[in-house]
Amino acid sequence: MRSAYLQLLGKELQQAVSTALVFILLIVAWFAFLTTRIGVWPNLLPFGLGIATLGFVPFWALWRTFYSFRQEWTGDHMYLLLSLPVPGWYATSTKLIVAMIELFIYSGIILGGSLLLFTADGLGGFPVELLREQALFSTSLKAALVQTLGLVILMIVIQFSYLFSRLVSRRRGLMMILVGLVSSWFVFRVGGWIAPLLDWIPPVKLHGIQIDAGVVYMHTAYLGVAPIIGSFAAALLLFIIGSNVLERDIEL
Amino acid sequence: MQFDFDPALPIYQQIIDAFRRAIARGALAPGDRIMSQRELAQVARVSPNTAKRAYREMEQMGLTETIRGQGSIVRRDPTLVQTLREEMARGAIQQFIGEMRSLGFSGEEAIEMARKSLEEERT
Amino acid sequence: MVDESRLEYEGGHEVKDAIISFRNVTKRFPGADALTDVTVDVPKGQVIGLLGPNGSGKSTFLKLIAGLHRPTQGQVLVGGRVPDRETKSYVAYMPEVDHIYPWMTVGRAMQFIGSFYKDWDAERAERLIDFFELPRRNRVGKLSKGMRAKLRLTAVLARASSIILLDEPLSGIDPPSRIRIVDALLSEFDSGEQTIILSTHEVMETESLFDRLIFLVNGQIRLEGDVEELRRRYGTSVQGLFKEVLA
Repeated sequence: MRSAYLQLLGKELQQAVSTALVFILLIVAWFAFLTTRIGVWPNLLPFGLGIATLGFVPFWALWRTFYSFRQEWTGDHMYLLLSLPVPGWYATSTKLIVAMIELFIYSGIILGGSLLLFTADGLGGFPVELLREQALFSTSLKAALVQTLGLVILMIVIQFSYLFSRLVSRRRGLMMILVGLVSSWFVFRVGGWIAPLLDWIPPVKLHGIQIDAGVVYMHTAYLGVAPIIGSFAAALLLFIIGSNVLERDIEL
Repeated sequence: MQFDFDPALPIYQQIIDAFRRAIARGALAPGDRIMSQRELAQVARVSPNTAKRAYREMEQMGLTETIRGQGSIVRRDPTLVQTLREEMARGAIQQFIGEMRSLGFSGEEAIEMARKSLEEERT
Repeated sequence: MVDESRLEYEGGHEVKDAIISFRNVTKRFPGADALTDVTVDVPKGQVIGLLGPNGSGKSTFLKLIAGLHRPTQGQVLVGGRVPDRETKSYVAYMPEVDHIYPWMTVGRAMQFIGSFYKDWDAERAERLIDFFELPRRNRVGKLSKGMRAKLRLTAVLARASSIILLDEPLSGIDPPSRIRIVDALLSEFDSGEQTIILSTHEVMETESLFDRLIFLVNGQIRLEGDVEELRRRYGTSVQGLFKEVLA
């Protein structure tokens, strides 16, 4: 059973490799171009454009989630997937995992590239020792984790809506939008309901910095994660339902 | 052995007929090993079940027998060939007579015509 | 030749040793019925010809067994159970479409598919690849239509599955390849353990391959039974029967 899971994961990875390489090359080329603009364009503009690229990544991840099942259908590969004696969640989870892996790779390259641009552009007067500050690092990590969690919830909603839209034979686009809206509402509503039950989860401690006339101020803020964890639990429920729909209800 | 089936007739019977003919004309002798059911299915391009059915019937008819570990052989019975030849000849003659009668010839006329065409063949 | 009324079919013969049974199965799609009240038993260990014109419900019939469709009414039982993940492990289904990933090489595709099934016989897969002269290192997408059909067939015949479903394996294939496919079927079929259902609307090459026939017309069974019995009863070939059923 475990080997069947790894086989599916391997297939998703192999399938993703060629487009992923193209994306990586594009990102690298973009950053190489920005590097040549240092000193030509206004201070920190190359860095700003570089880090802005990160904004596309979540949208890409959502599209990718939709597309990974869609191409199974358009290529008739669902006949292969649904003939396998494996649980539905094998297919749904491997697709999400590979999309996440790609997401991390692209984000990592963009962040690394931006940091390089930032350093190369003289840090914009930013005190270099702060970059080694533990608190800043952990704050970035926590913020990234919370954002990733939010993104995973949306990816599950998209996957769920797409699978559901496959239960009807006409107006699938409309069906997908409707299911998407209803399930988003459900996920965030349930998140709100469950939140009080998750009160025991300590809030996440975040640090902010402010530089005023060369003086660095540190702020501390607390972020309650109960709602988002509640929503994640609701999304997991959608994931289970979606996987079961795939295994038991979808017809070809 | 070559198989050329008339698809309008049961295939397993045509397989049996092919074996009967092969034995009658001496292409297969009593005690000779015949091909396995699987081989027959592949050579004749028929379902293995059809081959199985033909072999089962041939054994019941006393045409073949199964030797443990060796498969099927033509039944080791010295009278088999003679019996088969006579049986098949009778069948052929009956068919000939029946056909001639249906065309309106009497038995005598039929024999006379058969003799004539044999003579023509000889010359 | 013979009038159509002589084709008597009362339907629903019970067969002992049935490995697949349909009980009053109706499959409805928006706008049309693909199958209407079909009741039939498929005995174990035979090669069954599922015959009928295009759109007669042959694909739907096979998909119901493969677990890719669920009946609107009635019940389909495969090995005594409603098709599910469990039955998929012993049902090998070859769809009419090219379902194997075009970016995989022939070798990779066989390795990938084989890894999911306990009944996969790697040696048999190799033998079939050689028999069909499939290029192991070529991408599936680069193969000709006929080659892709042979690959799909290999993916199914390499399994020692108790049930093999072939949806139109001969359609669009050149005649020499058809004979090769029939030969592969005959040499790999294990009549003690396996049951094959092969759908086709071209009966020339498969005339003597079948043990049993199911004729579907407009989603209903028009004639069904042991093929030698049908030949004897109607004095005509499968092809002749096919023409009569369609008349």
